[in-house]
Amino acid sequence: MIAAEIGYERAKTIEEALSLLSQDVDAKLLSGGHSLVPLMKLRLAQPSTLIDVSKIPELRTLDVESERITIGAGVRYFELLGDTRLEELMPVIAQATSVIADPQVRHRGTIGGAAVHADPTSDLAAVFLALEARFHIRSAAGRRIVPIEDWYLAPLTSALERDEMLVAVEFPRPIPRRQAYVKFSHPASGYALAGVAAIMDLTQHGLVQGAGIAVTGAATMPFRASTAEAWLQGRPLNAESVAMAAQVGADDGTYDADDGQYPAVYRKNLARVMLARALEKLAPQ
Amino acid sequence: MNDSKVTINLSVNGQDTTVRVPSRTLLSELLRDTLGLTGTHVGCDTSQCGVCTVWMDGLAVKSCTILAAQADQSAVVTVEGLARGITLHPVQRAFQAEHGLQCGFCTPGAMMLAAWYIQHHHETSETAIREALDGLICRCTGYENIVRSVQRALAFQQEDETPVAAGREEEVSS
Repeated sequence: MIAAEIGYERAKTIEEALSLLSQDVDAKLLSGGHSLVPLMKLRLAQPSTLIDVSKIPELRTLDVESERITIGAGVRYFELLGDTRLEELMPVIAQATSVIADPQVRHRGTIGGAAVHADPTSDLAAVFLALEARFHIRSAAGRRIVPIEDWYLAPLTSALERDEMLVAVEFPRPIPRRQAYVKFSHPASGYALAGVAAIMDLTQHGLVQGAGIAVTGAATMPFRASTAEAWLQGRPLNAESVAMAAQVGADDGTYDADDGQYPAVYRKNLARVMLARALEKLAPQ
Repeated sequence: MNDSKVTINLSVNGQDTTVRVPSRTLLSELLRDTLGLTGTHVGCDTSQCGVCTVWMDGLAVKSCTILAAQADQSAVVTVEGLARGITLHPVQRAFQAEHGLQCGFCTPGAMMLAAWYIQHHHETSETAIREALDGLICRCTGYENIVRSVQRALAFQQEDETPVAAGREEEVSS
């Protein structure tokens, strides 16, 4: 499998990358390349030029504050696992990242790549949704911020326009203390057949406050289990409420991808089961 | 029109190298076809199997999924660079001692992944090792011996790091 001929440019700054990108409609940005290079080999992607942004220092920064965390788009998966402060405030990121593919892929893949590739089985998609991520976008023309609800348009299609670049992912909300990511992997590929990210706080009386719950892999698109979040608000977290929330949460997805091997009815049930497992992990012991 | 060739400066097994190759050249192709280092094998060529694993700046990576151009200014180590002269790397000795191979095709990748593992992790449990070996597919399914080899490599590494005198003392006290 040999990719089509390409041009290659290495950008030293964001501005340089954006300028190159604005000059060529068929150019594509390259960072870790672990989604793009396989697609190029299959000739499903045939960019004219690759603009390598992996050596731009600004994209590799990690800004961890208790109220707001900003992660540069070029931060690699393994780097998300090694930061003590990030691990302390957002263990759900490490939990999800540690089950992405294998060690070699985690050495190359980036958080920004996961976001823009918009694979509907991406582990981090559930984290982005549950934590209400905001995507910081730049182009030669300017800047904009895309909230998570406007990000995923279709499988493998994000809101990023062709002349735009994702520069950072922001998690703006006060970060709830209780967090979990659970995953049911495809036995061969390792992709999520159902992955659930759940975050919340419990009041001193043990009542759910500010839950963020999202499911990846199971439905056609990653989705936020908004009905479950609303239903749990102000309720205690126990066996009964977990079962009910998992039920209504699974209903929030659209399961029209009947691939034969894993029928929609199976995927939806798996979403319910994994929702329950994630919520159980958050319940007081 | 873009220049479809790219000049790359990199170090391979400690030797500085400058090459000019088509931009679409993969790191695996650069190593095997341009530099003649055929120790690195290519299994699936779809970043599934990990047989093409090499080190890039100290990290185990799949060379079939990295463009050679991305390795510019990097230090690459292949299976040919594991041994120090005629002294085998602990991983090589361990794979020999435990017979960590059947057909041998995945062995270069298995050893590079194992060598990365023992340098960064010291967990000897089968679970931890199998988790790390998730990035390698052995088509002979010879994982039992590969896992034992990694465990043995961890032991060899520890022996190597233990000063001889301290080692003798332990022997006496036990």
